Formats: sequence, C-alpha cells, structure tokens
Amino acid sequence: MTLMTAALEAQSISRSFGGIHAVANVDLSLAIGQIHAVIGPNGAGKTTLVGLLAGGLKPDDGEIYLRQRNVTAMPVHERAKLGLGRTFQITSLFPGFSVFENIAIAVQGHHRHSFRFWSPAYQKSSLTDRVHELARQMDLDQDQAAKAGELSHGKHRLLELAMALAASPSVLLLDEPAAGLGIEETQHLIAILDHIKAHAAILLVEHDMDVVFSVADQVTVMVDGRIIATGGPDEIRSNQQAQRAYLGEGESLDA
Amino acid sequence: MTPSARWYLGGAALVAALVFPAWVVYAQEPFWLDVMIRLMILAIAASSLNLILGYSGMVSLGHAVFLGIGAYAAGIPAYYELHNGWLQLAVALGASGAFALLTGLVCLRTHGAYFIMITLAFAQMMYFILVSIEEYGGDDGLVIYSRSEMGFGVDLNSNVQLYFLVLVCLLAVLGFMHRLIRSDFGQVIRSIKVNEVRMQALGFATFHYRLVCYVISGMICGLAGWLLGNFTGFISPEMMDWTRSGELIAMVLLGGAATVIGPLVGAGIFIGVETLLPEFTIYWHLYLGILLIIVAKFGRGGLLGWWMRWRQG
Amino acid sequence: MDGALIMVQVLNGLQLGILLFLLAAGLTLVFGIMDFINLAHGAFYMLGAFICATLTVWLDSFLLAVVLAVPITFAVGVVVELGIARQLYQADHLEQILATFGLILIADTLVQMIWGPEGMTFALPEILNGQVGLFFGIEFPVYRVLIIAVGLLVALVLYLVVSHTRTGMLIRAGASNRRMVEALGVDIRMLFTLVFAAGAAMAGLAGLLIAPITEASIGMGNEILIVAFVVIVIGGIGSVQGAFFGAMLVGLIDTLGRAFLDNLLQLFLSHQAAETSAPAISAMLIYILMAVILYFRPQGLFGARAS
Repeated sequence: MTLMTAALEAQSISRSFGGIHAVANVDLSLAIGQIHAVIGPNGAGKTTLVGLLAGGLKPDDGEIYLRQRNVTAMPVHERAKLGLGRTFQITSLFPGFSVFENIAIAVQGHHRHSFRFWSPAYQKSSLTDRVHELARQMDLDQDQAAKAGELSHGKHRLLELAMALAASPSVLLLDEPAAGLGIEETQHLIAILDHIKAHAAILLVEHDMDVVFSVADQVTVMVDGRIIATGGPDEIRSNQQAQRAYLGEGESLDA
Repeated sequence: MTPSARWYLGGAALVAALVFPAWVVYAQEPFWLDVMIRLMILAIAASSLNLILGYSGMVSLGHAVFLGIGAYAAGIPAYYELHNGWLQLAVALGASGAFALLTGLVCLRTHGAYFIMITLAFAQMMYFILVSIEEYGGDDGLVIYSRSEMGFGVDLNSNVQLYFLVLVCLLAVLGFMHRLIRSDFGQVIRSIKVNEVRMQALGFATFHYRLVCYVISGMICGLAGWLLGNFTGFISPEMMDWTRSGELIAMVLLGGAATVIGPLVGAGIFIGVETLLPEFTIYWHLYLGILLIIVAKFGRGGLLGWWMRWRQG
Repeated sequence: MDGALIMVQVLNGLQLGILLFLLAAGLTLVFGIMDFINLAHGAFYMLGAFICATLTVWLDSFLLAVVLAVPITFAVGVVVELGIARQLYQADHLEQILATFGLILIADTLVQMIWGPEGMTFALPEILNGQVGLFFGIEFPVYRVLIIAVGLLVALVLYLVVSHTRTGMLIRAGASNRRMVEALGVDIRMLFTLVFAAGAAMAGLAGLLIAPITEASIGMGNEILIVAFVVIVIGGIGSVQGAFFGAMLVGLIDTLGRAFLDNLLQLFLSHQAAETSAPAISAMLIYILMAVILYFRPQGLFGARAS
C-alpha cells in the first residue's frame, strides 16, 4: 500500500498514558473499497488507536495522513469535514431528540457552516431526503419520529452508523458496531457493511469474529499496543502466534 | 396546553400589556408602572441568560456584568453630555459584544465548574475596575439626569413611553429567541449541550458556535442594561455584583429553563416576591431563600414545569 | 521606597494569603471530593466573626471566645451538611448554585434577625494591640503576626492530617475517585460531613481573625468568597496544596499590586497616567493571573486533568 492510494495512513504512531504504552509504533493504512479489521484482546489499544485516527487523542510520535494530507495535528471536527466518519464504542447519540433529528444534525454537519439564525432548521428537501434515505438504509424508516433514547440497543448501533454515514465519508472508523447485537441484527450489519464498503475505506474494530471474517479484506491483530500480525483473513486465521496471543492455548479463531 | 390555547393566552397578555399604562394613568398608580418596566427589563436579561444556560448548558455566574456594561453605556456618554440614545445603544451592544468575545475566548476553553467560576471572576473584575474609576463615580455610582434621546418625537423621560420602548424590546427579544432556537444555529447549540464530543465528530467546530452564542447572549443582556440605566437613572458597579448574577439564574430556573416564556415567568415571580413580600416582613429574603432551595430541590423545569405537570394530571 | 516598606507589604500580602487559604481549603475539598459548589461558604466566615464577637463581649475574653467559636462553627457546619448539603451532592451544579444562593439569603437574614442590621466590632486584648519589632528593624502589628502564625499552624496541621493519617488518605483518594473509596467499605458520608464541617470551621476561623480589624458585618463573606474561588481555580480544584500556593500567590500579588503598581507604572508612564490607571489595573491583577494560568493550564496549577 503506497501513500498514493491510501485513504488513511498511520505511520509509526505511538501514544502513552503515564507509563503505559497504549499504542506503540503502529503502521496502518486503509483503502477505498476495503474493510480493514483490527482485532485483539481487551486492553490491546484498539480504542486508543481509533481515538488517535479520529483526532480526539494526539499521538506522541508518528504521522497520520488523511487523503494524502497530514492531519496529525488537526482537530476532530476538521478531520470530520475532510471526510472522516466514526462510530463510538459506547453509543453516543442525542437521546432526547428524535431519530430524524439525530440523523438530521449529522447531515447538517456536512454543510459548510450552520450560522443561520432565522429560518427554521431541517426544512430543505435536500436535507430531509437524505435523512429519509439514511433511515431507510438502516431500516429505521418507521422509527424516525421516535425519541432516540427509547430505541432498543440494536437500533442504537444502527443509528450510530447512520449518523457516521450522513456526510458520505471516504474514511469510516467503526468501533465495535456489532457489540450487543443479536444474530439477526448482526447479519443485517454484515449486509450493510458489504454494501457501504464500495465507496469508503473502513476500519473495523471488532470482537465478533463472525463479522470480522465475513467482511474483512485485511485483518490486523493488536496485543499490548503493538501489531503482532497483519494479512488476509485466511492468513490470520491460521496464524499460530495470533491465536496464542489473542485466545490463549487450545483455542482457535474459528469462533 | 394546546397551541390555540397558548395563542389566546398570549394574545390576552399582549392586550393587557398594551392597555396597562392607561390603567396606571387612570388609577394614578405610577409605582406599578415602575414595577412592570423593571420586570420586563429583567425578563430580557433573563432571556439572554437562558440562551446560554438553558439551551446551551453554559452556567454563567457573571452574567450581570453585561447589565452593568449596558447601563454604563448609557451613563458614561450621558456624563459627557452625549444623550443620543442610538449612539448609546450602539456602544452598549458593541461593548457587551466585545467583552463577551474577549472573555469568551478564555472562558469557553473551560468546562463545568471552572467555567462557572471564571465567568464569575471576570464579572468581579469589571466590578472592581469600575469601582476604582473615580471619574465615573466609582463606588458611589453615576447619576443620569436625562434619559436617552431617541428622536422621532419620543421622550423617554415619560415613564409611559419608556414602558412601551421596553415592551417593544421584550417582544422583539422573545420573538428572536423563538426563531433562533428553531434555526440551524439553535439546533446546533442545543445538540452541543447534549453531546459535544459527538458534534465534533460530526464536523462541527463547537467552540465557534458556543462563542457566537455567548456573544449574542451578552449583547442582548447589554440591551437590557442600557434600558435599565435609563430607567433607574442611577448607575453603579453594584449592578454587576455576582449576587445580581445569582438573581438572574434564579429567574431563569424559577420560570423554567430552555423555554422561551420561562425567563419572563421567572422574572415575574421574582419581582412579584420582591415587591409584595416586604409588605409583610422585613426579613423577606429568608422566604425567598427558602423558595430557591425548594425550586432547586424539586423543580425540574421551574414553576412553569410544575404547573405543566399538574395540568397533565 | 525602601526595603522596609516592601517587607511590610509582603507581610500584609502573606496575611491576606493566609486568610484566603483558610477559606479556600474547605471550599476546594468540598468541591473536589463531593463535587459540591457551595456559594454559601462565606456564611461560615460571617458566622465565625459574629459568634466570636458576641462571645468576646459575654465572656470578656478574646481567647476564650476564639476557642469556643471555632467548635461552634464546626457544629453549625455539621448541621448544615446533614440537613441541606447532603441532599444536593447528586444534583447538578446549576441546582447547587441555586440552592446555596438561597442559603446565602437565609444566612444573611438569620444573622440580621439575631444580631441586627449593624455590624459588630470588638476590641482586642491589650497585648495584641501593639507593634512588634521584626527583622530589618520593621515594626509590624502584633495581631497580624498572630494571624499569619495561626494560619501557618492550621496549614501545617492540615498538611499532616492529609498526608500522614488514614483519614487524610481517604480524603485524597476521595478527591480523585469517590466510588473507589465507597467500595472500600468506608462510610463515605461521615467523611463528607467531616470535610464539610472542617471547611466551615476554617472559614469561621478566618472570619473571626479578621473581624477585629474590619468588623463583623452581614454579607462579609460574599465578596471574599469570590477571591477564594479565584484561588481554588488557580490552585486546582480538590488540591489543598493548590489552595495554599494559590492563596499565597493571590494574597501577595493583590497586596503588592495595590501598594506599588503606580510606582512601578511611573517608570513607564507619566505621573498622571500612572496614578489614574493604577487602581483599575491593580484591581484586575488577580483576575488576569487567573485567566493566564487557566489559558495554559485549564485544570489549575495542582489540579488533576479534568475528566
């Protein structure tokens, strides 16, 4: 993967907290049309990695390039404007607002600015059409009027995804989107991921191996902040070192 | 309450407000005119605080500083024999806007408790600066002998005419707040209050939005201050004392934060208590204090919220 | 301008710093451990002053009055904590502000009902009234030296308690992680009561120490409370160390600024300009200091990173 084609590239990024090396010397790249999964045991540094790529955390070392631009020092909202979308490990929505309003504010974020003080919001059909489209895509069409806080957990995860997609991002960072989902919901998620990967470079942090091995084109294994293996799904599945590090002796990655 | 009932009530209130001065003149009760003017001015100030406190979750304990700035914007030009009301108003809006911008740049980098205290500190800073400027009266304050000249045959030295000016301003502010909350900007601000991290991840430069919100709020309060300076004719640093800011917070919460009408209701309750209770006891502050504690403990949405819940059964 | 004059002002600055520390210590602990903004903290300052004034008159002994006034203020602190503060720990800051604002109104009115609207002065015993010769041949009021000494003693005791006793350890732990301390099976509520009442007692001590100089008056706590807030913001919320250094810094800068700023300005400006601008600028100094510190270090000098 050369610098020329990567939508997102991290070069030797590191981040410590106190004495703990949460992320150490990680290289990573994402290409449009591909899903790059990152797996590893708890505490491996996966969420810290997402934080570094999204911009909430500053790396101690290393560089990050988004669409060939150096964004290492760029704040979160500017990276978002450049085409970076993310979902959160712990659902992060606007519970008091309706599903429609949640998606609408996400679509609104894509506009150049929102310093309009007089006309009522969410009136333009270009916005409302897009909201309906996203809701339909996530099967939340019927729920648009409901308060986001009252939805089931599964629908929360879908709403998270809808909001991340609202700005048509070219890079998508998904932090455990399948967490807490039932079997049907997981299948639905896999179908959605398959569909959206065509236009985006996706980083998928996940624990659910079904999801990972169904959709991933590339898998990276992280342990204690470092990458111990990276390659195609079949390679990783048969990689002894990865299995041992992740699951301990006697287990396999064929979940 | 149904929307049409709301319209009827609002319309009735408006009509009452319009004919009120006629009653005052007829019944020869100028005192009540003073009360209403003061009530409306404080309602404007409370509305401005509601914008940052109720809708944006920014708890400022120094908001009265804008009342003071607006009042001195009337007083200081008057001291130099500059009585043009439009000029003074421009100074009031400009000075409060500038103060909000400069202090906002520092304050808004903090959150939660630190924000509360730094807004408090900046207000106290202005208080002490004005106390130390002997030229403008310092501690003793400044007296205005003639109210702002607005032209167009308007004479603000007549309390009735001042009343109507204040009423127009109040209606304009309430109307503006109503539109603002529902606008793109309003939605962004309200969303930032709920989940700022998410908003940044969605591409919003949240700091800029909060800063603009803070400046708008400061300017509206500056307007209230200019009206207050004209009304009382006496301008002192006491106007920006932190206890004044506490009273503004009380008004917002008494009436119900994050509603357009709430601050007006709250100001009404507060002024009502302040006007009527002293008739019964000189120790009326005690009861006001108890009321505030009760509202803090039990009143989500203030007295308005209580009333709404009671009506819903 | 000679060295002696500067030394005197430095001592005055230290004295102010000590008073601010006594006020700020309780405020920062209550804030740091219970996450409770207490605007009415100044009420204890006022109460300590009035109680001591009354006792001095009744018992005809300042010393006895001091010895009694502090525990009485502590007891009042316990009552207020159990009755009101405790109900508010779960509330958000806005509601705490509203409630403690109401408390100020109640406290000020109660004092007015009991002691009347006028302030109260009382005389110090003769031995405390004179001047004492210090180093470099400076003469400084005995009483002010006493204030500094008492304050430093309290600071030392507080430091020892916080860093060398089990209670102190719980306090430090509670300031950074309340739930962990609860999980240890400690009755956290008693700890809260203790911290709150101790803060009240220190505030009361500050009030009674300053009262002979300035008089005990209604609302005397409200103005100095703001400065105490500046101190804890500068020092870092929850940190007693921060409260101490912050208080000393603020006390010195404020006092020295007011005393010498116009002299300093005259080095750059005309006599006239310096004289008119100095009072305004010296009033601003501690707020500018606070703004600068917060700009570079939003959590204060010794505060933990905001969560």
